Amino acid sequence: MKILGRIAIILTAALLVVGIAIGLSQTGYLQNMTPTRGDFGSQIATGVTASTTVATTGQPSSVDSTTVNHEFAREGHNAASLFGIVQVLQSLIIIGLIVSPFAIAPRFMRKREPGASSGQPPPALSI
Amino acid sequence: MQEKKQQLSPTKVSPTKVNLIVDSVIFIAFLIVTAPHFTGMAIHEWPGLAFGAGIMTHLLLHWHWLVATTQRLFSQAPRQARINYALNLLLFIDITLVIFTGVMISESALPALGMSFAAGGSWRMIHTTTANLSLGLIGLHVALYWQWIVNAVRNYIVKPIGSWLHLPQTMPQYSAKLGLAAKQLQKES
Repeated sequence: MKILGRIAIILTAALLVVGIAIGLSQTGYLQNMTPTRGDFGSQIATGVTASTTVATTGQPSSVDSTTVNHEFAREGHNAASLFGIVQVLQSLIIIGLIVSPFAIAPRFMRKREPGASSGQPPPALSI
Repeated sequence: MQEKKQQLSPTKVSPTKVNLIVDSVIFIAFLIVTAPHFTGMAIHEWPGLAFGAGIMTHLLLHWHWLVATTQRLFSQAPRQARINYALNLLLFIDITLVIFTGVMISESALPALGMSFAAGGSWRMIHTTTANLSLGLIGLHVALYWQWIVNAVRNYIVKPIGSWLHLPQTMPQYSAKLGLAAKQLQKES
């Protein structure tokens, strides 16, 4: 019962975030905040251009505008690839770069402290 | 009741061990989920939804810290705890947005359940932006709890493996032998 209550609190907090996001999207604030930039934006823009060209020429076409947009937006993402492991390594490297100052700094701080290790016996096992 | 407790206590798993296992699973899931080129879109979406359950479990496991820090946030919480709290709050908002926008632009998971939403360009952009942001925030989250991670890994992974391989018994012997050999070499030279 206690856990259910806690889950309800977490879900409420998540719903609050989602509600704010939906509210902002309906006011058009998010659209203004997210201009078409980078690869993703240009791909979407290209998709829209292709569909509008078909519409303006007036020629009958079996290509659905949403399909064109969709294909451009998610091109290359649908199939799994072993080369995609680069993305995993990339994420690990970024996290490693963020973590490394926090992991290394305390060691330097300890070394700089005068007599930090003088009174302590050396470790029994050092690998 | 006390007898029952005494009987149960030897089989009780350490909370640190549980946290380490859950957090490791979440971290690996995060790495997999943030690589859609590696997994493909379908596998990207399903664990993405399950990731929400992982975060929920993580929050439930750290509920006492969450409540205690919230209660003393504006009164007597130390600076470090406030920074952690702010970062964790930001991470919660970010992950919620990643999952929500992922649901909004879902192409295989939700249609398989018979649901679909109108995917707008803004949702896609927010999904990408918040996912990129989450990488940095999770990096900071890991960095802030680095010492705990090191200690937990040492106690529950390195030490058990070491004892399993009988390293504590054999290693000092080897190191002593190596030390003697080095001294002999120095004398000879």
